[in-house]
Amino acid sequence: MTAYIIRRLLITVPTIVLVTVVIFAIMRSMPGGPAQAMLGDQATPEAIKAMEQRLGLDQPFHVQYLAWVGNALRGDLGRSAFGNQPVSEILLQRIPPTVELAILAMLFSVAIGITAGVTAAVYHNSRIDAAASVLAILGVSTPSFWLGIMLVLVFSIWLRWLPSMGYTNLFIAPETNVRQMILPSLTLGAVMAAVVARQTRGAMLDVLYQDYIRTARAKGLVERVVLTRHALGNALIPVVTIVGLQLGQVLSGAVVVETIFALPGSGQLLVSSIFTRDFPIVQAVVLVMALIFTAVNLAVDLLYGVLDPRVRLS
Amino acid sequence: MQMRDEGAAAPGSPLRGEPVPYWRWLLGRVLQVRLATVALTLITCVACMAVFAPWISPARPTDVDLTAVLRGPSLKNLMGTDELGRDIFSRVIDGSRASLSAGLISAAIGLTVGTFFGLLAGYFLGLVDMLIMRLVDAMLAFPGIILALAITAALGPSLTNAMIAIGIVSIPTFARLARAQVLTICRLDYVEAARCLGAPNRHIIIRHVVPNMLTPIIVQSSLAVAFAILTEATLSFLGLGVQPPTPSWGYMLNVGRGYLSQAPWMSLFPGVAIFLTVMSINLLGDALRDALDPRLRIE
Repeated sequence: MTAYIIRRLLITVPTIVLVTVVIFAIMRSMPGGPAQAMLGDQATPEAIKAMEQRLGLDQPFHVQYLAWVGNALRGDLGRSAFGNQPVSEILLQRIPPTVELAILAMLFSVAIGITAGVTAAVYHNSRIDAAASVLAILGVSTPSFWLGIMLVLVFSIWLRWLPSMGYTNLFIAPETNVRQMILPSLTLGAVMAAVVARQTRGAMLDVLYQDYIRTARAKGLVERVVLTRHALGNALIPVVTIVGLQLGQVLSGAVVVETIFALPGSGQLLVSSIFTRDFPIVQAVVLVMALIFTAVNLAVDLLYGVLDPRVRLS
Repeated sequence: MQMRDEGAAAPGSPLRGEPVPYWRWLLGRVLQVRLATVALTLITCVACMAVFAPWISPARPTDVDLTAVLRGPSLKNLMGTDELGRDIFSRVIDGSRASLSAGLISAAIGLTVGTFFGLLAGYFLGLVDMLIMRLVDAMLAFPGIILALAITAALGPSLTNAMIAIGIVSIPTFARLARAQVLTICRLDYVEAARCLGAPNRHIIIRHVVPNMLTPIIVQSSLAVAFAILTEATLSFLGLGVQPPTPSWGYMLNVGRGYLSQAPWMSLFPGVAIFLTVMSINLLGDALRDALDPRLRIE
């Protein structure tokens, strides 16, 4: 297992280095350069030059890159182009709502997705299976922003049950926080639940036709034990991968969901910084999201190695 | 490319086994799935809407009528009017152009560039493979929309830039898929035989590798179109895709959000349009996968 972990970590390092190069190259590909993009077309050459000097953009590409990576490794992600506030400080304030949203959405999607997937597989080719499959394809095809808007329409405007926007810290007013987070997590979790349900159904069907399940039934085990102890454990191995990969979906979806529900998270920060052309913030948010995604992928791979010994041996 | 048509002709028919063009064989297989027929019909309707938009729209999508703002659905305005009195039905029809063109062009960028690099990596292996695949890994380390947002942020908001961004995001999936296919195909006897006969690489790639790697790439292309339509709608919803006054489903939803209590139809219909289009393409993708996967056919 140790060799597997080391091998997997060694593969991740060059990926992270390339991730930083890709982000840096994208941000430097702005037409006219980042300084002009931030200041607009009306900016004078002097103002552009001053901004370039302030942000170190007058240095050669590789010097800028190495300085940025070196600072990032020390936790310094630069300063906002407009407020001059440290980007890491801004980001730290914006991460908690996104983390809370991600956790709630993942919990929702796993609970609903696995239950629906297992039920559909157990009642294979029945109406329940058909209904679960239809719901899954509906979920996969529904744009999260539309679903969010429709949930606001029904639960906030028509029924007046839940607030349509805003965020209160969980530790300051837990009840208000829960009420505010229900619709955003439902919006984000529903689409993922559909993906998890499809994957669970497929994996469960694969397992249910294996010889060892037939053996378990033949020796007289109760169906509940066959399903929970023999089938589900093995069927969930590929589901772990999908749930891990869903984090990418969560981070992408958070951008939209936070915008709809006015949650002050990192996704909303990214969108607002794109509009204000505050490129140090855009660069930092994209970097942090890519690093989180890479770390989760790594964790999923390692977990997969623990769950299925064939993976680490191959 | 030709296939033996085993599904179209009745067993025992003298026609059974007669070679038919690949696309006809594929269509025959796909149309055996009832849901795929519905999906294909819907996709054809959306495509016709996009092509014939100027002729079938009841009004011009950008025509403002301040005497008819926020009117509900009626016979005159089937989907109601928006905050500037524009006919939403006409805007939904016209919005299909942006969505479909984004879907097709972005998927085409991902397909051609990704398959090309995947082909190079899988065929030549070694340093070429390592360089290409490490870059692909790095691109896959970004959540899809985040990378598209970063690229759009750099290039500036517009439909063209959104299409480029979505296309770039689609490249790694195609590259990985193509590489995996090439690796499998290159180990097969007929490629070895071609090598032994002294066929040049270009000949082997074009005549033997490419035609045999198409099946999963066709399936992936349909999914890439659905992904591109959704991502374009997301970017436009955030204000980073199609710019007003050109109608786009995503942007219409964004504007409609502000009038949700007075005019819910402004958000309802563009959303339904995105949903039906994406669902149809996903269903078609599923049917294609089922039709082209021999294991599923045997089952």
